[in-house]
Amino acid sequence: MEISYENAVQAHYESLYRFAVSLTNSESAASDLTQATFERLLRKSADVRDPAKLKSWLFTTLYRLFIEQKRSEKRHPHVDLDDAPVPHVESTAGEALDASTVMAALQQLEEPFRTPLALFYLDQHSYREIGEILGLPIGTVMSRLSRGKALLRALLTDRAPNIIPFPLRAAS
Amino acid sequence: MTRERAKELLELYRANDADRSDPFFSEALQMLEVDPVLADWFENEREFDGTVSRAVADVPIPADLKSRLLLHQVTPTRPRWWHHALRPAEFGLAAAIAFLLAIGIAWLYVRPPVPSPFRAEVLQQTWLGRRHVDLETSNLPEIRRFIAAHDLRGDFKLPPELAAMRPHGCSLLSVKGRRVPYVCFIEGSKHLHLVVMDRTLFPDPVEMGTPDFETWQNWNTATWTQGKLTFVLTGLKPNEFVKKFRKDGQWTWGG
Repeated sequence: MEISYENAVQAHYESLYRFAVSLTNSESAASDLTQATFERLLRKSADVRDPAKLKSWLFTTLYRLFIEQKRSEKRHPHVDLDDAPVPHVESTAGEALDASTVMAALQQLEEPFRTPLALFYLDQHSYREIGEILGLPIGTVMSRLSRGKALLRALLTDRAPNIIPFPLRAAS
Repeated sequence: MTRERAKELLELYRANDADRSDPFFSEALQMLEVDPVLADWFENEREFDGTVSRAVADVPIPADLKSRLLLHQVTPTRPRWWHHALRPAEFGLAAAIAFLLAIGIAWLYVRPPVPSPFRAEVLQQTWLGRRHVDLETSNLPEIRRFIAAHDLRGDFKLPPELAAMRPHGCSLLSVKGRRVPYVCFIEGSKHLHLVVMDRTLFPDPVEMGTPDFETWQNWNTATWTQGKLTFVLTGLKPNEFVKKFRKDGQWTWGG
């Protein structure tokens, strides 16, 4: 079965962009990262022999591009004044739990927890896919997801107690 | 399996039930039927996961992102036999020679349609620029004021079909060292950019009142001149739209 570029864009560009937002905390950087990922698909399409692996390949590529970019920025730091960062979460009591609240809460997590969580919630990747994309063993995915979920839950329930009545501690 | 171990596993279970048949979860899922405390915890967990998943699925997508991605549209092919028969360096050399030959032949005999350099520049700037719009608003008078505030003609007349569309905002381009505005229109899947400029800036003569169409890959431009202004409408498929401007054998530009 042939992989069509147009179909690949149609099927995955939204979830890839949202994953990129969770990584970069910037709309323009997320757009650039998404574009770079699809440009890589055009150049390296021969690497994606199995259409069933396309989604995983795209997310892996985007994540690797992000890591490369971060390394490069460490070597050549700069400040982009045009970036529009996702707003910081302030006290949200009385507000609805919307995308910006959740994304802002995600941004407050350390990256080792944030990235697997973003994959888990965006496009609902399985633990196996998350391990494949991030190059992590299943046990590490399990512990990071577990710890990340606990932190996210604490952040959201602390900041929006009237909106998400989830107990901080599981029933025992 | 202990309750704590079951929780560890079930934390990985996706809210959309996609893991129901995964044997990795089967024992923990079975425990839910006999352990009401675990079942209660799991229900809370799923509710939280579902809420977060729905919230992140609402992160807005830039209106022009898909257009930008499709600008590069080609159909990737499966790996062919020569990928395996040739070493990478040999394959690269063969591909480069074949590519140059193909380009040469194409230019000599086929001459594929490409937009004039000016229109290509407009396409590049309006669709591939880093910022989509400088001013985001659906209020056309506000767009006109923004353009006029930059000492440019904001009082141009739009064809009725275009005037009926919802504007998304506007931006300024730099063409030949001069600022030129464009207005972005988005309605459903239709996404168009209208560049408005002094006709003396446009290098290719366009007959007064008659549109000139150019196509490049999936991108089209429709250009017309009205009075002292030249309009360039760009997008994925504006040509069919522009043809609706013709009424009773006459082009109606609203001017």
